[in-house]
Amino acid sequence: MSNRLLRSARVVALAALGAVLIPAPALAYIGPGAGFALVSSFVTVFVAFAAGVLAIFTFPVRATLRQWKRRRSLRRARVKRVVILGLDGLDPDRCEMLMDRGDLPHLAQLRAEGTYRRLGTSMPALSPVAWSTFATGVDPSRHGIYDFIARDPRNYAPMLSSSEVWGHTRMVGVGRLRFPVSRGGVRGMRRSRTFWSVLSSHGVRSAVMRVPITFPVEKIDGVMIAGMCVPDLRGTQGSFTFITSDRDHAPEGGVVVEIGEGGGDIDIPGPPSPLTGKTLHARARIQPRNGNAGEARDFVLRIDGDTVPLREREYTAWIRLTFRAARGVSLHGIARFYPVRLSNGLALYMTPIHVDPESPAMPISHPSVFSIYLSKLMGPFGTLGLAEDTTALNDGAIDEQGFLDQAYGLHEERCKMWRHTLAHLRAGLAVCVFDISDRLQHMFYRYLDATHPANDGRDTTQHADAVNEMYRRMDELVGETKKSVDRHTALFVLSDHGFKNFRRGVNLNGWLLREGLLVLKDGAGPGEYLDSIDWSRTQAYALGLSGIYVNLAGRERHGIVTAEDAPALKRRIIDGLVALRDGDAQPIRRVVDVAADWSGPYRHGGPDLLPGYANGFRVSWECAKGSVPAEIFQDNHKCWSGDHCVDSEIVPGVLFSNVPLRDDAGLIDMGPTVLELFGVDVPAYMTGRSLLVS
Amino acid sequence: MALKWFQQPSQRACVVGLDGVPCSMIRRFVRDGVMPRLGAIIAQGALHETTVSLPEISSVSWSTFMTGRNPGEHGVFGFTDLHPGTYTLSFPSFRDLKCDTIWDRMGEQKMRSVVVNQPATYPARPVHGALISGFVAVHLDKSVFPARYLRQLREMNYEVDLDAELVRDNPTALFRALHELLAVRERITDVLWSEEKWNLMEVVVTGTDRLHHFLFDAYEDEGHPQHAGFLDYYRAVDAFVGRMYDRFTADSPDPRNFFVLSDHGFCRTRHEVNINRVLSDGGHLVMAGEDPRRLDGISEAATAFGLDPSRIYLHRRGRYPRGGVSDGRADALLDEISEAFLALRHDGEAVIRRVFRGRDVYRGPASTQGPDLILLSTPGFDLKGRLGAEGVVTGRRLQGMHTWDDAFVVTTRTDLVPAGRDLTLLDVPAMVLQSLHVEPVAS
Repeated sequence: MSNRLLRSARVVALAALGAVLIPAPALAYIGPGAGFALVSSFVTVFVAFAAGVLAIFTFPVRATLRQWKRRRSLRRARVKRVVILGLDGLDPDRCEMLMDRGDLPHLAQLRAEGTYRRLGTSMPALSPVAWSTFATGVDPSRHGIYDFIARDPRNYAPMLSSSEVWGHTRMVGVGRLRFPVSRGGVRGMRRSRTFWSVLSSHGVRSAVMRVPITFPVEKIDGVMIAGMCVPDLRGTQGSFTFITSDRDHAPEGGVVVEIGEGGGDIDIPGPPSPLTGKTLHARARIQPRNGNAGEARDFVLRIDGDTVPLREREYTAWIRLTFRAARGVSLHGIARFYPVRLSNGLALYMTPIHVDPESPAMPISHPSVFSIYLSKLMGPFGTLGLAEDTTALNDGAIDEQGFLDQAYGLHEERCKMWRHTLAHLRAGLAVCVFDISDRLQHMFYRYLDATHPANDGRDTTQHADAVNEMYRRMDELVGETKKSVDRHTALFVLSDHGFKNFRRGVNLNGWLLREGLLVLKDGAGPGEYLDSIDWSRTQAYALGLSGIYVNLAGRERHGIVTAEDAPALKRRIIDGLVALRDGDAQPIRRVVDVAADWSGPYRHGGPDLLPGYANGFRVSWECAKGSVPAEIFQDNHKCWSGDHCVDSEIVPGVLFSNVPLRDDAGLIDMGPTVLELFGVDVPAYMTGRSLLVS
Repeated sequence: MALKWFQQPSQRACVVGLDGVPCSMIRRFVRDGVMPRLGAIIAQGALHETTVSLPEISSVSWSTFMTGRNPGEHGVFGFTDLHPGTYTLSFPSFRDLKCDTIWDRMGEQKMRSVVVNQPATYPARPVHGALISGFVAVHLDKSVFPARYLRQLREMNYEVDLDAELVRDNPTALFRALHELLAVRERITDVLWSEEKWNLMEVVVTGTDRLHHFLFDAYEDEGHPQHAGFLDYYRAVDAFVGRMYDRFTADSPDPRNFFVLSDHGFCRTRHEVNINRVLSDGGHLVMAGEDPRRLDGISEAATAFGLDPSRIYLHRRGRYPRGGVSDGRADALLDEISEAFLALRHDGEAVIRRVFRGRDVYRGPASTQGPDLILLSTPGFDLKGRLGAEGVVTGRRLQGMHTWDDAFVVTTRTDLVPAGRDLTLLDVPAMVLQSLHVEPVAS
């Protein structure tokens, strides 16, 4: 459209040029230069003016045309709008129990008047995997996401599975500075195609808010804010900062910054400089309010000329942090401060540095101005993928209340965003994923199990109702969403998986070691990481939350198992794991052999075996990090006490809808269902099937 | 608006060439969702398997496509040929094309073409529109018409082909180069799309052919470490085709005039077969010179020789300085040579599945310049015309080789597809011209 417009503008310009160049009687000789200057400036002004006028005058026509196209594409649509409210990790057992108790009136009403199903999830039942299956309508062997982390077969190192960031490939050095000649970039690693991209090709608008594995955002007809796995400004998946005057008692994780007991200047470490690669810092100052160190508990934070009062156990608002790399080159982030202790020494927790939505350093929204628009509209909001800082609670930087305050703060921002979306998107697809339901159940599951090993030495009463309270808050959100639903709107409330207890960790690498399938280098004892493994004698290893890899010749750097021997080896591991016992309990119900059980094009690149754990079990913390512990079972003592990466058959999610649906519903069927609702043919490669009852 | 309406080109068509992509691969990638955008286009139209001209190499195939005529008319029979009356190898260029192109024919009707990365068009010559040559192109400044685009191309670091030496044994570098090439191809296409007034937009992706030669194992072997990288390149190609399609359908009077084609199929190489060794073993090729690898050392006693990849020429009297084969002997000799090749076995498997006579497959004034026999090998046996080889069947140097069948065409103009017979590459230019209401000239 604009190209043609430009072209016509050019014709107009040429005509104008002709008009000016037609000889007119010269009144006085001014010189050729003046003539050229006159002509060229006139042409510039004229072209700009003509193009502007043309754009304004053709706008109604173009808008109508676009509307008409959109309407035509929606001729076969059964609905005007599809609204999908994603509540990560909402569990069917708990939902049913609370609905029957009358605690969740809105969901109960949906169940009574519409459809309620247990929603089959993906194997492995992990959010990045499950939401990718939701988005694409295919299984993991077709979208290629098996876990949060994948391993690099070239060096067995763990890496993020969902996106790949690469630096500037060619640099030119001037002194200490290095300037990029070719640009770096970031690339999404989820394969296949999202159903909103298919809708986009058919002229259906979408608002896709915070769905996991959407970073970097794709270009669609509509708007998008990326969700889970957007990194923080440091490039990590979320690293908090702990500012303390007592370094010896700092939490084990996070970045620790030291400060005097009476306050003082601090340098907050931020992202590496895009020019030198060195860590940039933001300067801030924490001082007593009146400059008088004697008045305890009354401190202020001074940063970039602003003064923010600090109160113990209360979050500050989002504070903008500017990291200057050079004149004119700065990166912007936002963070909230949480004074844990302001007397008897200082201790402040600072959230991970989220990418500033008002000045985004990464592609977190489409169009790129959308996050800026939202930020101006509703104030700064959290952008980090895993925004609720579970690590800080796990590591003891904050307590349960600190975590709840933070999580509900983020939740409120999400609600605002969702209200705005529902009010403004009158036709098309609106989908938003809320994460608090998942994070809160992970961290508070122990309150539901009096004998949970993680309760040892911890409060078990104060937040005993936190999980049920969260379900009630989610029900309110459902009620609010329902209000905007008319008879032309199809509503889906769904979760990507349910929840189970996590009492015991299974050390797969420990088991492989015992079986002789994994061998450590001479002199290395158990307890060490992957780099102590003797690859020339190791046949299989475990890494990440979901799987076991065969050390396959030709695929892994030092692979020793031939393609012919792999099936027998996998058989042996499957039989061994299913026969494994922890006391009387059977920790592993079944094991999926990816290459044999699935048929997608990416079935050979990811983990080869996916153990399906029974309730109460999960892969151990140590093993997920790629360590090789000696014992096979370990109690889980972390606050992170509930989980869902167990056998997908025992953790279905939920699906509520105002549309009649088939019985055997799975997350994989949602894309095809939405496509059919909009009258768009379901692409043949999608393995899910529409749930609509014909 | 009136002006805009006036500006609207009379008719438009868009062609995307995917060099060396087999039909079977398209089927598989569409089924698996690796190429969802192309899958959606096929759902709107159709995917057809095609056979191509002989021999099945890019320069011949693309010359056939761009002229709409068989090699007997356009006169390009390979990447190499002999200077007439000598034994000196030459490299046929765009200048040696012996007939006009579809762009010339459109130009006669004042229709303009934009052609990006078209192999076998070096050095670029004036067309009614714009042309950027594809491989093999030596200097960028001779690959561009009109020359005013040269500066822009240099600024975007445009490259015609990748540096085979740099990427051959380095998959990371290979994939990076392939993605960069695709991106820069799209960038210049974007520029030409809006800068030029055009009726035909043609862009050829050649990285596919390069990838196949270097890494075809990564396609066939799903456990290959580069398998995902291979698929990812095709995902990028698919996204590119999808964007071209979106843009074309939004911007054209008849959005159905969209074509995607390949110039030959591809399969995995198992062995190389040296056809000149077969000829010398059979007593047909006799060398007298000191260097057995130079054709100008051919003896007067020689009755036939081969040129890359699968062409057999009789050493005819009057056509070659030391040629001694008379026309009377030709038929008997051709029968004898054909039988020798058809009898060739490796581990019990026939190496040659078919032998074509030049006079059967080529028609037109240039057909006498063409080979007398063209061999078609069993997939996996890559034919080579090198001289002085150690044996008939030797190890492979590249992982993939071309096939004559299993090429493809996708179009949404299903009404133009000839009914009741298998399609060949020659049908594609005819369909493209018909979609633009330009009379295709009958061969």
